[in-house]
Amino acid sequence: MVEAKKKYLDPQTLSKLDGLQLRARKIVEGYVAGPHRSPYHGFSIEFTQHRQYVPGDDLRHVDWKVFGRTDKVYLKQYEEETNLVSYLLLDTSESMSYQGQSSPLSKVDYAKCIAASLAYLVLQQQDSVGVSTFDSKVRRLIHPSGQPSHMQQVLSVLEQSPAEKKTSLGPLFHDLAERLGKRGIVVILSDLFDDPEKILAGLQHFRHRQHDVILFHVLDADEREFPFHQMTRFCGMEDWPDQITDPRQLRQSYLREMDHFLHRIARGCREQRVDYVPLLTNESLDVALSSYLAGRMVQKT
Amino acid sequence: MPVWLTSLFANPWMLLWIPVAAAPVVIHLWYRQQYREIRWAAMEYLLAAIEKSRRRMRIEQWLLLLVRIVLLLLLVLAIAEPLLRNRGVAPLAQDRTHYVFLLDSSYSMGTTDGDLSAFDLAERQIADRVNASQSGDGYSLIRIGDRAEVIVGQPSLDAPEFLSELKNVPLGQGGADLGSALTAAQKVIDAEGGGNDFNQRSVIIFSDLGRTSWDDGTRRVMVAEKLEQQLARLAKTSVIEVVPLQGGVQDNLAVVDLAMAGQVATVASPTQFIATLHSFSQRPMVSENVDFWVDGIRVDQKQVDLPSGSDTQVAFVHQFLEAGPHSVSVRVREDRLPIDNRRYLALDVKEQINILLIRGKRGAAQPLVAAIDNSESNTGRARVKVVDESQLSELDLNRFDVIFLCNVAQWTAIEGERLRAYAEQGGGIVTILGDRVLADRYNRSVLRPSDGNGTPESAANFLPAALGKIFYDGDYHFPDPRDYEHPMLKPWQGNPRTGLTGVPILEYFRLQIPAGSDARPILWLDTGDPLLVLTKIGRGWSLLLATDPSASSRSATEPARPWSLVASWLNAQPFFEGLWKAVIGGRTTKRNLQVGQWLQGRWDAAEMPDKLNLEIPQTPPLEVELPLGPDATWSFGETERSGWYRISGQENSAGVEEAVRQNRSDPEAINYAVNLDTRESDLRRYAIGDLPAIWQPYIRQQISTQQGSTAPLAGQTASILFLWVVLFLLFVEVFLAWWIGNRFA
Repeated sequence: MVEAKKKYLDPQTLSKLDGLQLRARKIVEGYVAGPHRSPYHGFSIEFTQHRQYVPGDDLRHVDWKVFGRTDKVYLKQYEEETNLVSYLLLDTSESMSYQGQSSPLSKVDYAKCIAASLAYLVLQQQDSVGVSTFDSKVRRLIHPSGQPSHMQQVLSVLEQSPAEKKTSLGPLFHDLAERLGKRGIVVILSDLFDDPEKILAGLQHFRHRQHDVILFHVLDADEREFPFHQMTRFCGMEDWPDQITDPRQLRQSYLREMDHFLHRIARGCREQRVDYVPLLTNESLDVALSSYLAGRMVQKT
Repeated sequence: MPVWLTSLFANPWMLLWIPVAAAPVVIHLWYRQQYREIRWAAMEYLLAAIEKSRRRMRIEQWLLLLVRIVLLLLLVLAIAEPLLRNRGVAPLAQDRTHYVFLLDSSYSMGTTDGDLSAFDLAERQIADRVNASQSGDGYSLIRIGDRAEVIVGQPSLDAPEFLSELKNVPLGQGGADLGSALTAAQKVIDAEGGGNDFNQRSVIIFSDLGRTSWDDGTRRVMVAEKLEQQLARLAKTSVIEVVPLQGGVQDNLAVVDLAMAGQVATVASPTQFIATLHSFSQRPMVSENVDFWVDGIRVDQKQVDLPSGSDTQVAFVHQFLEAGPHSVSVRVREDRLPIDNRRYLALDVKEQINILLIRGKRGAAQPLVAAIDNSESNTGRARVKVVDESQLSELDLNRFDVIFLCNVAQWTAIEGERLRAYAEQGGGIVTILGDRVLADRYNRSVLRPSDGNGTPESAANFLPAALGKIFYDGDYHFPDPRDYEHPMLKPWQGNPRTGLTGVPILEYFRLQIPAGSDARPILWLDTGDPLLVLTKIGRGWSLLLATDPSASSRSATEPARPWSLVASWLNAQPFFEGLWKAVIGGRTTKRNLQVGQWLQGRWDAAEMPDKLNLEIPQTPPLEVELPLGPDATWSFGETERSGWYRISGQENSAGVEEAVRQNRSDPEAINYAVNLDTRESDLRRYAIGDLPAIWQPYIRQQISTQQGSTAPLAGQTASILFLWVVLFLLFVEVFLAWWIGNRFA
């Protein structure tokens, strides 16, 4: 049984399943039934303060008792429904659609699986989760919620996010950092194909807003190993020009460039205390879940 | 196959594989087209990698490509067996060779087979040999003509200069004297000079191996022996090589002769010309057109069938309307050897023949006058003037074509000089002896050969023989024509009844021909003494008759009996005609020469120009200026080409005005006909293996070719060297491919 569930952490198996929900459920079930136990121990809902009503606020949160007493409209503000807020930021730029020859899933699908799994896990733990998809700008943004029904909304956003556009991570992270409200865990799922300096600047912005940031750097195994052996025409995504070349002669040079890039990102993350988790799309997803849960523990403490 | 290739490679056809060397490039290009296509996300890093690796990748690719191309190229070259004599490997060979090229320039080398003549091919082959030789080699060039001509004697080490000399060598229009060419080659080798330390000498003869030139040695024993000695001597120091240049053409039609049927042409009667054609073909030629041209206009054409291998004579008759110089030529269709398809004849047409009879005694000229009147007066062809000997000094002799001295007692030294000058300019003198003749005075004018001591010959000598004693034994003696060799005797040959041998002669001077003289008797008496002695003086002739054909001379012993009864002979008329015709040809033949003969003359026109213009027959015609000597003589030198040589006066301004006024374009132009010695027209050739036996032991390298290509000189092939380099490059290629592949894989 355990083996049967664990296999759903394997992207090869996941690729055969239809629907993100199913995939997410299988992942989490597979993970929970595994050797790791959940670190969560329950949560509570507590009133914290009132604040002045402003038009547009949900009337459900109006404290009618206060209104009756003072004739003033106040909203009741609570501690969040959960004790943890997670923001799942999914890069849906065109480069994320790459799927290598040995990979069962494209990068974006892989990232969606992680995002869905995390959302599922978070909601299972009664935490709240928000989701945002972006490329050169924020495409969809769902504010965090801990309602079980929120899962459907999350999945809907994830599933309806085609990877088509060019990416621009640096400015976008700044934008998102401003838009994300409560501090929480910011989970970024991206291949980070952009200027590292701008990316790191964006991450710094998150950190500045007191978020814990987990950066899932999703790459395809091909991008990491460059295993091509014959003359290839590389058709550039995101408006990069095409190039015909013999990849064998370029491999070392390419890997050197890629290592340099990864090293720069990893070092930047370390400096900013961002959890940097490199992922390959042909690897098991438990790495991603473990990384998240570790970050969750840090947040709880 | 270009000759230079054959001199560079033993198997030049293998070079057709050279395009294979392009295979790596083709494969590379093909491989670049056989790419697969993938969409790539990490393009930024790929482009950065390309940018940084571009230069290195390009160098590596080119290096590998170059190694592969060179490898294949060397492999092909190795298969083609390059020769060590080539320039490319010259440093390996320390030998220096002196090449002595003997270039056959007989006119049969002008035979074309295709676009190029054998001579052109020979020049190309020499150029290829020079180009294929190695630095340090020396080149000499000898042109084989009627005489060998050393073009480059001292071995030239400068190939371009030598080739420019070669380019200027003209094709001759004569034969080829191999003996003199070998002698010249030996002299060139002997005179190499101390500074030229050649290790090898190579004498290479480029010839069409025409039987006419190469057969001489076997036909004449003396020549053959000399040739063999020359070859033996040459072979001691040199490699002798014969390169045959033969096309497939051996058929040829040539006009070998064109002559006037008579001695003199006049406007009074039609003149007959005989053209002799020879077919050097294996099969008969049918309906060949023969054109007859007079003064640049085609006036007649005849169709003849020509049997194979023999002469055919074609007669043309033409009536000249104007006296003076005329140009006659016969032409047949142009074949592969066009030079011998024309024959030229320059002749002077006279208004009439002027004959001067100078008599020393009344009646001495009578039978001659009667004979000439009978034969020529009716046609107006000849005009006879009879004068006494006392008038000799007063007459302008040049007005006459023939002068008879009939029983003239003697002449003064001045008169003798005038007669001699007259003869030298082409006039004919017939001296008839008789009872008035003073033998000792006559003997002062005997033409004697030079004594070798430098004693100048008297300017008054014109008699072909000295006069001895008068022969008289009381009996009649009769002429003995022996073999009727001279043309004037031809009418009697085969006709004994015509009575030449029955003409009684009672008394005559015994003629003594000086030793070493060119004079020769043409008719004898039964006593063995000469009756008629003929000699050539300059361009004219002098004939001496030992007796008096008229009845004017009487025997001293028996005064009633004349010296001879020739005058009463029924056939005296043709005999007297024969006398003047035997000496009249001098003025008509002086402007007909053979190639190689000296072109010179005297400007006889009334107007004396400052200089003469000579137009030489070539394309385009070349005009040269000739200075006129003080005695109005001019000289051009040896003729090298056949055709018309036109000489004209370079008029001074007054002369030009006169010419314009009279609407004359070329008032005094005179044509000289220069014809070929047509022996070379026989295009039958030797195959290299069939050369006369004397050649066989000495020809080390015999090469047969039909298209002008030659095999290379003997030499070691460099294939092994090339194969070693190929092997080395093979290792280099494998290493490079491995290194490049593993370094980046």
